[in-house]
Parts: sequence; C-alpha cells; structure tokens
Amino acid sequence: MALRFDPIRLPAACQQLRGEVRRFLDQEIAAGTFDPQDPSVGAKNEDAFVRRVAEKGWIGYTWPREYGGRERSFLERYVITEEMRVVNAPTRKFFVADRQSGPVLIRYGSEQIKNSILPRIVRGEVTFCIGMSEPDSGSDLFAARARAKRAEGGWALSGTKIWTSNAHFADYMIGLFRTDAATSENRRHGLTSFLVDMKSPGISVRNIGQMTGSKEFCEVHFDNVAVGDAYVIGEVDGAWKQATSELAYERSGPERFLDTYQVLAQLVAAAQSQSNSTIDHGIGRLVAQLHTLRRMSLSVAGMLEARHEPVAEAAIVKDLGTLWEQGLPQRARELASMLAEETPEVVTLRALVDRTLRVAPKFTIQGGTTEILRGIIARSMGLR
Amino acid sequence: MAQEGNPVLDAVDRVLKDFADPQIIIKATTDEWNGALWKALEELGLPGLWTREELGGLAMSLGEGLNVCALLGRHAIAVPIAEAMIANWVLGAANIQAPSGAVVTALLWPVPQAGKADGGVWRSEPTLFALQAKHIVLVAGGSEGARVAVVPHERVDVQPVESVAGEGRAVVSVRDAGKLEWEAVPQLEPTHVLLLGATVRSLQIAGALEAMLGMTLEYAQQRVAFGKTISKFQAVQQRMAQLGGEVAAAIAVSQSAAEALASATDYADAAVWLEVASAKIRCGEAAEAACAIAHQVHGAIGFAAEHPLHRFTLRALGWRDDFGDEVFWAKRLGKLVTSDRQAPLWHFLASR
Repeated sequence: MALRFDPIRLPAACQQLRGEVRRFLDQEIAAGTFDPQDPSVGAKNEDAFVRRVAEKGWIGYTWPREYGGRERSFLERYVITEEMRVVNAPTRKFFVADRQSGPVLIRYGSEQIKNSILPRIVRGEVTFCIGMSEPDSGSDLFAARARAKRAEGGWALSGTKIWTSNAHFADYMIGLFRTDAATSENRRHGLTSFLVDMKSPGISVRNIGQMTGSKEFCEVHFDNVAVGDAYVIGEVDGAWKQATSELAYERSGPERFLDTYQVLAQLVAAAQSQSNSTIDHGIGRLVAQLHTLRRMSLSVAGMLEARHEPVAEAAIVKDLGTLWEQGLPQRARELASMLAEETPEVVTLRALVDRTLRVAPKFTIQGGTTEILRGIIARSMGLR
Repeated sequence: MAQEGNPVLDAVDRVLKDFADPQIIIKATTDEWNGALWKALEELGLPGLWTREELGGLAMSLGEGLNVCALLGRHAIAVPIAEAMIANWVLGAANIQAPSGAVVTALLWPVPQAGKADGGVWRSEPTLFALQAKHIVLVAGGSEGARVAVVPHERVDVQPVESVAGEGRAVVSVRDAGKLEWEAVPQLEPTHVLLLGATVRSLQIAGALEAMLGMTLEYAQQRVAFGKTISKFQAVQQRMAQLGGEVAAAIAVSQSAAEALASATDYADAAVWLEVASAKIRCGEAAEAACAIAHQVHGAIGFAAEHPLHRFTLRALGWRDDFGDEVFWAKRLGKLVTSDRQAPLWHFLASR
C-alpha cells in the first residue's frame, strides 16, 4: 500500500489571501459580531455575517464564474476555511452549501438548478442541510427507508430524516431517498439524491436538544412532499456512485481537527506568564501533533487540487484529526492543573475546556464514524 | 518518498536489496554481512553524498540526500551510512577532507563554550556506532559558530551504552580537548547538526514504519486462524487502519521537515524548528504506536529472533533516542510558543 503525503507549501497568493481574511475576521470580532470563545454571540449576528462574507466573494470561491463563483483554487478555499474555523466564526449559514451541496449541484445538477440556486448560495441567501441519517440508518446509509414514489410530474417523498443539522432554518436539503428496492447483487442500488425545497408543503421539522444545550439537530418528516423531475440530483437509483468522490473533500478539511483550537490558544495564553518544562513539554507535543495534521490535510488538499482522489488519505486525516480535537480538551485540562497559579486566564481555560468536553463526543461520529473510516482505510489496503 | 529515475537512489535501492534483504540480515551470525553492505554503499560514494566535488563528494542537494535517508530507513540497515553522511556534511561545512571508513559525529553536549572547558573532559550524548567508527567528528560550541575537529577513534574514550536495538552506542569523551586542532566554522552552529540529525532520524523512522506496514499487511493476508485469514477479522482491520494512520503521519511530517530543511536559508528560523521538532516528536509517537500494532498482528512469530520484524521495530524505537528524543524537542517547541516574544500560535502554524 502506497501512502502519499507529499509536502505542500501554500503559494504566496494563498498567504496574502490569509492576511485579508484574518483582517476581516479581526474587524468582525472587534465589532462584536462574534466571540471566538462564546458561540452564543455569533448566533445572533450570523445573517449579517454571511452577507459580509458573501460580499468578499468567499462563498463558492472555487466555483465557475457563470454561477457566480471566483474560479479560485482549492488551496485558497482551504485557507479561508482554516482562518474562519480557528476563530469559530459563525459559518453555519453557508458552510454546508459551500463545502458540499454546491459542489454536488455543480457536478450532478441540471443547468436550470445550477443557474437558479448557485448564485444565491454565493450571495449568502440560501442555506443547505444534508438529509442522510434516519432513525434506523446511520453509518449504514444503504439501509435508508425514506421513499420517493413516482407521482405526476415528478416524485412524492415520504419518511423521516434525523440528526439533520440546521434543518430548522435551511432553505434546501440534499437528501437520500429510496426509489427502488436493493437488489441481491447490489445492496447499494435503489437510492436517489433529491434537492428538496424545505418550504414545500408536507415537510415538518422538529428540533432535538443536544447534550451541549443547543438545538441544531433536527428531525425532518416528509409527508407526500412533491418534487419535480428536475430536482433529481444525478442518476435515479444510482446515488451510491456519487457518494464516494465527494467524501474526500468532506473528510480531509481543516474543520476536521480545528474545531477545538480555541482550547489550545487559551492554554498557551494561560501558560505564557507561568510556564515550566512540564507545561512546555505538554504544549510542544500538542503543537507537533497539530502541525502534523495540518501537513497531512494540506497534502490531501494538494492532491484534490491536482484532481486525484485520495480516498484513503482523506479518511486517515479525519480519523486522526477528529480523535485529536476530541482529546485536546482532556490534555488541556491536565495541563491547566499543572500550572501553579489559578490566574484569570486559567479560569477562562477551565470553563472553555468544560464547554468543549460537552461537544467533543460528536467529532468522531459526524460525517463518518471512526469505525467506518477505519473500514474504508482497511479496504484501501486490500483487507476487505 | 523515492523519486523515480534518480540514478543514485536507484543504485542505493539495488545495493540494499542485494545486501540488506531482511533474511540475509537475520541469518548473519557474524558481522560479515555488515562489512559487505558498508563496502558496497561506500563504493557508491554514499558517505560523501552531501560533500562538494572538490572534496571528493557527490555534491547531491540536501533534499535529494534526505530521500536516501528515508530509503535507508525502509531497509532498517545497521551500518552507519546515515551517520557518515551527517559527519561528512559537517566536515564539508568546515572544509575538511573526509577520512575513509566509518565516521560518526559526536555532539559535545551540553555544548561547552570556548575557553570554558579547555583542558577538561568533554562528553557527548550516547552516539550510535561510535564503537565501530574509525573516526569521530567532534562538534563543540564556540564564540562564533561551531568548532569542528576530526580525530581517530584512539584519541577519544568511548563508554558503551547499548541501544534498544542492541547496536553499539557510546558516550564519547575527549580529554585535553583544548589541545585538539579545532576548525572554527562561523556559518555552522551545533544546533544545525542537531536539526539535520533529527530530520534524518525522522525520515529513517518513517521509512522503517512504512516497511513494517507492508510486512504486517502481507502477514495478515497469509495467516489463517479460525478458518480464515486474520485480515478478514474486523478487529484486525481496525488495528491495521490505525497502523496506516500512524505511518501516514510519520511520512507526512518527516517529508515536510525534510523539505523545510532543504529549502531553509536560515536554520535559526523558528519555522524550521517547528518543522523538525514536530517531525522528531510525531515520528517518535508513531513509532511507539506502529511497532506495538505490527507486533500484535504478527503474534508470537514476530517475537522470534529469526523473524525480521524486530529489526525494524527495535531500530525505529531506538532512533527516537538520537539527536534529541521527543521530550527534548517537545520542551523546546513548547517553550518557543509560550515565550511572550512569539507571534500568536496560529500565525506561527499557518505560516507553513
């Protein structure tokens, strides 16, 4: 098995863009739009924030110009994503569409849909959610039971999607529905991807409280929801063919290890005035691990830019990355207790650690569990 | 990662396949194979890989030479060829003609300052192959840059400290150091040798881990238990995937450090330290995890003396100790980011 992680250095244009994004975000923080350590501030201002990000042209940055994009490189988008993620910018109104839904529409959508929807994503006007999981179908996507039945002029959708983040305010969902039974030769047969207008009659959305106290998880119920033929995304019964190549983009990005970065930043701030060799050692290890993850993730980004499909490498980045970001608050908690003085910075660190511990379990579940990822890696090694 | 079509790399690869096949290494009960391998690699000019042509070297770029180190790691060889490359790199910087035969670098550590320890005894950290080397390149601090001297092994005292892989390491000590012929090398710092050595070891570890992954994969697909190959068990597959992840991390970070060092204009640059320290730390961590999994999947056979696996695992574990172990580098890296003169951590990380 050949694992390739060639060193990537970001071109000067990327680092220049980084400076621009950083200045923009610094201004937004200074203006009180969001607080890197308190997500509740950003939640109130995210509509205004998304518009200003869109004015910069940073949504759909890699997309074709004819749909409003800037046709910039994947590495430039990478830089924008990392800068937003390390300061916890309130990106949930556009992140899913920018990373996933838009690229899916560009590849599989009809011209009519591309022309009508992509420019609105770029302008920050529409929000997407992803309808994959169901009450009896999580990691095992091909167990999906929500149905799409032939109806006049298109399809009628029925069934339930669950754990759908942000469905309560999303304008559209790209969801997986069963259009045919699986066959004995191919259990992945029979699923079709649909673009669904979330304002369609027959859709009801219920929020589900999370252990963090927030409620962006949703249960989405479909009761004979009418969808036109033009809203089929890709091949009828053949959604499984579409899934794998997109996953490399979804799995290897900086959001797979930077979600808890503020904990490390605060740990360094708390240690600055009173470090010792034990603390230095602990922080040094964390920095080395994070640097390594960045090198791996950037290397995959470079391969994607070169139109390779590094499926195993991307799965490895997510496996190692999510475990790292999950473990970070645990390590910071220990190091905080090795600091001699309980300064205000340490008090802030402990509170941040506690809040982060409540979020941490989800990192190794969402977007492919650790176990599923390792199955993919094992398959690429020829073991299954 | 081996570059296709590089004649030196190809030649080294051929020699390693001919003389350092794991089975040959295992069967050898004397040091004879060792001598034959050394001779073949010396004939290729490998010790002088980084040495300028005027001094009789191959004048290969640092980056290309570092690729050779990853290759040496993949074969986990036990001849001091990487050590000779480093020693001759130091001699090249000091404009000293390299001696023939095995030669290693002894970093006198903590680096004594000029004048301070003259006449006293200077000691090195345990240095791999210092027992077998015919010559020792001594590197010490100076008022301006490093001081370098090359001495025959009779001139130094060696106190053996066996490595985890059972190889000859030794603390090198020098009496009457002040009486040696030191060459002052203003453009070289002892820390430069440390950075190069740590990068070389990181690449060797990553190479050995890559080889272990290959061996372990092959074994898992051959070994039958409970009526099927053990590769069909999910528990084994999950462990193999973890092994793949650790190997990937070691490859990525060591390759990045190699590129950073090869393109550096100033070794004092904090970014070079970030790259090299991270590589040495993370490759050390990967060695721990990967060696454990490789042995676990192999079961009892991997523990047998005549099985080649331990040649790779023990060397990967042993290489962690040279040119600063994980703790050495983590303390320095941590100190770098917690010092108040440093830019915010993220700006530092994202500069790479």
